[in-house]
Amino acid sequence: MELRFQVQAKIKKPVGEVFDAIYNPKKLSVYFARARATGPLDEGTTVMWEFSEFPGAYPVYVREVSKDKRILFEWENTKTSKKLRVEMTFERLDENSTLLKISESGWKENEEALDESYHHCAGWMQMLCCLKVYVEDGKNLREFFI
Amino acid sequence: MPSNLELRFQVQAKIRKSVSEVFEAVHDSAKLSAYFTNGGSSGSMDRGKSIIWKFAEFPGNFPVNITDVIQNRTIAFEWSLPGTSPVSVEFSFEPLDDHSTLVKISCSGFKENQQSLDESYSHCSGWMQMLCSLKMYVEDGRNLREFFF
Repeated sequence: MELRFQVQAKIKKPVGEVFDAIYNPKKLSVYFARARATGPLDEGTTVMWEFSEFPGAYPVYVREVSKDKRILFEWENTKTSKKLRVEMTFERLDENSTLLKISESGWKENEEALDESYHHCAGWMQMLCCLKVYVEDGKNLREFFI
Repeated sequence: MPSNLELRFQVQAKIRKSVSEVFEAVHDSAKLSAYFTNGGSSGSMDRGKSIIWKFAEFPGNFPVNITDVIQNRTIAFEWSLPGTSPVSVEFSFEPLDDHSTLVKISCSGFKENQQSLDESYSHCSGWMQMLCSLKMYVEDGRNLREFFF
């Protein structure tokens, strides 16, 4: 079995705004990496994400970025020491709305990896909900959540 | 790899409302349909009942057989999506204080094959989306499921 998944959400904001809410560390740090994201997601760079709910800093290796279209990065799976591949695609539905898809793959096939993949699957959906609420309403859904 | 993988998961969220309000937002079919079963639910979630859920974005009827309910604590049921085997779902509601609640949803019963694994990921993200929608509904009165899928 191949451990991989995709989650998606429609967002009532132009693709440029949705893209920047992820690319821009000041925005991302509000609703996702609540503690800190050290830099923008520029191709070829490595940024660190810290989460107030989880200890440690997570290196994010930004592999490919196409503005308003796609962000591809890798990060570590700490339990299996294998790199995970995350792809975000931004699709313009009309001038004022966007379809955002996030897929992740790269786990080994064992129980620990499976549990972690479910955790990431739910985590990315939670991130999409937080992103939607942040750009549409300005509310921080991640506050008092985890 | 041939290892026996058990396909089951749990998602959870903290909500700033009392446990009775959060429980009722799941138990009461009119409330549930305001943010989750957006095609309608045929009845409230009472022990021993069989109800039908419908979703605006996904065609078909989704039968739900409610196996156990303890008010303000647990709702357990089995359901299946068209063409798939039934899976077990259990909600647990835990008061954190008088005004906040921890909701956990666990899901199990998937077969061990690629199709079931793919389905289980859909359920996993789906229940997390439901928790976010539940939180937005009871805390802010907003329907997060509108313009989502």
